[in-house]
Amino acid sequence: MARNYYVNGFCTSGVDKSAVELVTTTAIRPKVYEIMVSCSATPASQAALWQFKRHTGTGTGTGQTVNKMDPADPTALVTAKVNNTVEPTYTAGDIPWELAVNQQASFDWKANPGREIVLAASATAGGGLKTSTSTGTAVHQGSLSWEE
Amino acid sequence: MGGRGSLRQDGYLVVSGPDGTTEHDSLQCRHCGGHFLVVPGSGKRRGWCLMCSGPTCGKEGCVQCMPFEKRLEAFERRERLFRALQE
Repeated sequence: MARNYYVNGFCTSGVDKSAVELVTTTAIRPKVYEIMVSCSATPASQAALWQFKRHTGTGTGTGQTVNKMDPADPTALVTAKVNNTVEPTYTAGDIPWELAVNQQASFDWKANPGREIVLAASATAGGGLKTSTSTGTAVHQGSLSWEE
Repeated sequence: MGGRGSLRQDGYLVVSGPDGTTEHDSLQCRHCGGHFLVVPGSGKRRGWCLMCSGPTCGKEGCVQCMPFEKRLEAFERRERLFRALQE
């Protein structure tokens, strides 16, 4: 039976800034089913293009504890990093999800069961929630939920 | 932007802002696994794969039928080979 996990991260929006990065393992193919983004800064009329992209090489970020949806579940196999200082090696053109939103708005996207964004079972690959472009620099929160 | 416009959506988006809340459906491309929003009248050309019996996103790389599962397997095979060569 699939187990569900989530992680919350943040970044200062800009060009190619990752809020949350997931690193998979060769043992599983994580399935991302929820993406949430909001801004905690003073509301301003600025916009950012948010993307969830697959990557082939991990970056440098602050390690973040992965939370279990069910406390009885074992620790997640996927590891997470937030607020990357070195961006992962994202795969050009491989953008399973993107949305441009104003800083004053927040969004919550959910995939139907069986229609999740699947990441490869790999020792170095994974996926990341990032801003691709942004008209301003403000701290944004990002959250990813997945099953493995 | 449009709204909810598909009969069988693959995902669901809620955007909340100062002007209210909007809802959108998303469909999943059967070839790249990516989701795209259903925006009626946007003029964007999407596709439909008769082999996969599902929508495609319309990107150049997704025109030819290669189911997403096959793509993943190819990627994982490549990576296993690359790791073996490094050892």
